[in-house]
Amino acid sequence: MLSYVLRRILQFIPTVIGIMLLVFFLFNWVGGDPAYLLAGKISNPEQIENIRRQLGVDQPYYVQWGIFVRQVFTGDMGVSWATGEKVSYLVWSRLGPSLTILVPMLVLSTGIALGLGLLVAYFRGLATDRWIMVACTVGQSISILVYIIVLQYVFSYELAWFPVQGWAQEGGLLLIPFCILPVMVGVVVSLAPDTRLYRAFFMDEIQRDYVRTARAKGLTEWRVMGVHVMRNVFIPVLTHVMIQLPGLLAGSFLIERFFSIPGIGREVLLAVERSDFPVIKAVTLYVAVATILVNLLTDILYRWIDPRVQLK
Amino acid sequence: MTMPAKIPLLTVRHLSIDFTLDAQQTHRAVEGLSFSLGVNRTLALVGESGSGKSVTALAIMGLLESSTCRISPDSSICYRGQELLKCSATQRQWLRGEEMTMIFQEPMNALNPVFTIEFQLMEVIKKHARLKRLANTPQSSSPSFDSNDSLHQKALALLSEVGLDQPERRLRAYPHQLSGGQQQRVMIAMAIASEPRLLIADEPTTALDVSVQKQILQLLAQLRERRQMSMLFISHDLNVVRELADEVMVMRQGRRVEHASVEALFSAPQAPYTQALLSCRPSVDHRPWRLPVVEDFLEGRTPSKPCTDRPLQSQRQGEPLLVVSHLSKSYDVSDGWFRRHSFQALKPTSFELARGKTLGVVGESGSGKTTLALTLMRLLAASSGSITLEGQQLMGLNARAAQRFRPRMQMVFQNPFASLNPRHTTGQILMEPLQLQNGPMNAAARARVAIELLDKVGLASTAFFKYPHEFSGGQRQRIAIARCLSLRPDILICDEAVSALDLSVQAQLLNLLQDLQDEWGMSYIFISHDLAVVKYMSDEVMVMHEGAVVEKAATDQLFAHPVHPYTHQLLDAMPQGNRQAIRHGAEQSLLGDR
Amino acid sequence: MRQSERVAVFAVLAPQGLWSLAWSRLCRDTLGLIALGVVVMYLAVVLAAAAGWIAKDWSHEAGVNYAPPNGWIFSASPSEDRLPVARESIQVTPVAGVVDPLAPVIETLRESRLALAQEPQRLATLPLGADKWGRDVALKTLKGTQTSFIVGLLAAFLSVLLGSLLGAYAGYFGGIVDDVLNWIYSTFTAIPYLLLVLAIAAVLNQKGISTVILILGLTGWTGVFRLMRAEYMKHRNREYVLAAESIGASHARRMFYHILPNVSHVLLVQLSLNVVSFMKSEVILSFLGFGVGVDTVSWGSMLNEAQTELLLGKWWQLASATLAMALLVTAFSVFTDALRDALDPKLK
Repeated sequence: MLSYVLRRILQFIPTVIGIMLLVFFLFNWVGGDPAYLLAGKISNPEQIENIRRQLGVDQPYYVQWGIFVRQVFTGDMGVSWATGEKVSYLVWSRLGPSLTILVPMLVLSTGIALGLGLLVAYFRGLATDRWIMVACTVGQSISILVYIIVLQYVFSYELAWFPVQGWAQEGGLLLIPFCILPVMVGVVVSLAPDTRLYRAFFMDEIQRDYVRTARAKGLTEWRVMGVHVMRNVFIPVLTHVMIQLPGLLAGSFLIERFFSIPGIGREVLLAVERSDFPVIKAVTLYVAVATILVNLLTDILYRWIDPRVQLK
Repeated sequence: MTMPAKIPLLTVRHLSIDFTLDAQQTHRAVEGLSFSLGVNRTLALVGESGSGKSVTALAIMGLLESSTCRISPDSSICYRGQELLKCSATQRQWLRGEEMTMIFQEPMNALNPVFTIEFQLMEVIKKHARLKRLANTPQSSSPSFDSNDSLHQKALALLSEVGLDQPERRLRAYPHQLSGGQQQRVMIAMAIASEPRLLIADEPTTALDVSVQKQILQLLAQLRERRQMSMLFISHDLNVVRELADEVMVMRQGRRVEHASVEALFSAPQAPYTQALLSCRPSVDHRPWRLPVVEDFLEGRTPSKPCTDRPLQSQRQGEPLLVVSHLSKSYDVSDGWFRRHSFQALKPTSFELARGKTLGVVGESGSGKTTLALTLMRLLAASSGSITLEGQQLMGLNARAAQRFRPRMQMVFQNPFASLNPRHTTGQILMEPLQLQNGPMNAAARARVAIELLDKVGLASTAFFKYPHEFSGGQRQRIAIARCLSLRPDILICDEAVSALDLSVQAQLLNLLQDLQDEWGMSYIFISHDLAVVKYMSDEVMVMHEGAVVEKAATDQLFAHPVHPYTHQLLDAMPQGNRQAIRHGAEQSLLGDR
Repeated sequence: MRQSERVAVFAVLAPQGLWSLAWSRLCRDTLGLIALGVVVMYLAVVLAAAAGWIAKDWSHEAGVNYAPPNGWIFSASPSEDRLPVARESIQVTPVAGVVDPLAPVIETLRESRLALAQEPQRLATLPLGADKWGRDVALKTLKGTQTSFIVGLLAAFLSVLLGSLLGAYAGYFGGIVDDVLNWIYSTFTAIPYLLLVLAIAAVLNQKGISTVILILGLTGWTGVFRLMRAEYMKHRNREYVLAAESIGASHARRMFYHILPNVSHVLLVQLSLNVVSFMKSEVILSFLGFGVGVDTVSWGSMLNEAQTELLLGKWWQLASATLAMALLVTAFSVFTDALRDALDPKLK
């Protein structure tokens, strides 16, 4: 087990180098001289000159690469061009609000979609199944933007059940009113695609021979579906949820923006709007490393959920 | 007490089942089938693929998907006086696993991969205990009766009963940690846990190796005897059934062909189809020039008695065509950190093959037969050794030179559904080798050759435009043979070329291969797990086991006087029907003492 | 052998039987056909718009500000609370001695506004209403459809081409080729898709349809790559490919003549899945202002305007863009499902 984890971590090295190369290529080569970008945004020419010197823009690429590698390994990704905050602190402080929304959203949507998937698979071929599937297809086709705009308008402006946007800096229970609507939007948005996917997982498993055996043993249909099939469906569902995880961290930027939640997603968006490269660079790298770690975690979880998997 | 009761346990009348193919079309899988199964008896349903035997079994169990299958309303399945087709779904579910149980063909897939054996076995035991408690009055059942411990003991006892050693360890195992035979034993343990009256076995040994097959059959026979069950045994192989059944019902295309006691059926088969099934399988004691095929019997052509046997071409004639020496193939398998060990799929193997002769290769799955074939074809790179074709060393040739020798050796693959490109027409398939190898040859000439080849392998020229999915397995295998012939090879390697086919089709293809060899003078390397087929085809036989050749001898000598213990074991495991034939047609039947 | 002569003639034009079989299966799927019809209709609209036959003057201010829909499709009572502030002119008293640097600019603006005000043909209602500046929402929707659909389609083609080519090489050859390509793949997939898209958008710092297509195409190939690699690995050792090798077919012939037709259904399905997902991404990008330029209209930019309009109760631009998008995406998804079933009936 330990040797497996160590070996996997060794295998990360090429991927991490790949990510660093990609980020370096994007920001130092394609991005070019920040002076052009920042000309309209930072009025102080000395400050721009300072940034150029720090990046070594006028040096050859290998020197720039050296600077970049040092930044990555010392964990000091520089300061935000826009606010002057330390980037590592910035990202760290935005993690909490993001997770506050993300975790309940993921738990709720996975649970509900799994239940719905089981339900429609149980009624496969019947009207219930068909209508839920039609609803899912249509629901999936509406842009996430529309969900956010409409739900926010209805629940915050018209009904005034929740605050339109904002965040309680103190944290704790005060956060709850700010969280409900964003979490709800997130669940609604992911429900349609997830239900469709999980139904497909169920339908896949239903055709297996062991299901026929379970029926031949005289088990009730609910036990066949809810125990024998469900336990097998957990395996692809786990993969799906874990794969989503890092993407959601940065991908919930729309929700964070609309509801003014000071999370990572909103920070990325602000950084892109301000061409604040250090922040984008840092988030990209951190999230990529998080992705790799989550993949490792997934593989270890597999061991518990699928007895056929052996970690060597 | 053990006298078979007169009232049948199960009576099936006018059973007809339709499959819905799409909105308009239906396919009748079973047509007006009637039979009954007495208490403590074994009935075998025998038929080729598509004969409706498995569908019948699933209908009895109530396991047919109602969305795709329809049982016609005048059918009746009567179990102990109860009309099953009128029962509610709950009643059927109550009967399943309690009164009637079933085991399936592929034990690996039939067990749930993510639960332990214990979990899956306990499900049945607990259900049985619960039902038993409900049946008894509440007072009489003591709480200790079904304590977890006693149920656990029962599970252990069951595993011992089906012949699994170390039952405690097996209980904790997951299905993938057991071998195919062990998995099937677990399936049997689950099937007998509730002391059922009826056990349905659907091809329980087809997916297993010959030696394991025999053990499972013996186990089933013992259990049926000891537990006073009735058994419905489904198989495609009459010879398997012979040791086990009291009665046999032969089915074809969803209808009953013949229903008789085992003695009557084997000594005096009435229906031509049964006669055909019995005689179109090559037997081990003689080699007719031509195997009889089903059509002969159905069209009333009494097959001419095999007057002369095909002579074995054991005498060497001139230079050997192919000389293989110390050919081996190993794979690197990585385990853990940076450790690797090499796995030898094919241990150093040497043999010679003369022109016009057939070398048979026998072995169970995993014995390295297919590796040998692929390495010979240079579809796998050999690890060491040499292949010499007519004095020309083939190993170590550069790509261009090696390409020139490709046409000399061709191969017919096992799975006729995978060996033809599904997106190409028969014409494209047959013309491609001509286009690649025969230099400038215009399309019309290539098409002409292709049509001739189709004729040669017994297919109509209309096949030219058709796609592989429009053909049956046997016809596809003919196309595959025609593709090989288009290059006029010296050596044809047949890797289990007839194993996936029904018996009657198998005989036709074996005849075709023999005819082609007579006409073209090709050499064959004939690979199969089926001893009878290898015996029929080969002049010389190699027995392979775990990647190595354990014995090589002229065919008759090998079958008459096997030397290696493994060869003994293989010959012993052959189904009864053939084994009797080995004993020079001894008439005495082992069924007499039932 | 007359038969064979005839055969020889036809041999050259071998029919594509399995495709026609799939087509006939698709024809039996009514819902799938309807969906296909809708998609084709959209395609016609897009081509007509691109050719300039329709919606050419979408930016023309045809109606009054926020003209409500006239009830053909939507109906809304004309709102009374027209914002008067925008209409009032602010009186600026010239201060002696101070030269207003903007005076000439304001003068020209005022003149053009006067010219606009004199235009008589500003309609009070329009089929789907008008936006803040009185532009016809119906025409904007048509033009937006053109932008979003073309971006989705071209980006999907690019990504499928890239992904399938790399996937085929990686899966077929294995070994070092596979290692290198797989390394690139795992690098790209380690960064969440939308984050990567945003990062590239930030770096490129330029807008426009071709930029969006390039961004989406270059980041979206990974899914196709993974599938094609797996398919090629699976097919590479299938017996029909081994048979092709033993009759002497080259690598390229085996890859593209033998295997490709057998995996092309995966490609088609991936293509249409990507079209849908790229259209959605384009909408988000354009909404955020990183997508198409300000002189182009897309569903995303319409939703951006609609967001503030909704607070004023002007819901028609939101409804039009949403409906246009939902209809196309639903039709495309249904068609994709039908296509999958038709091409691979086993999966059903």
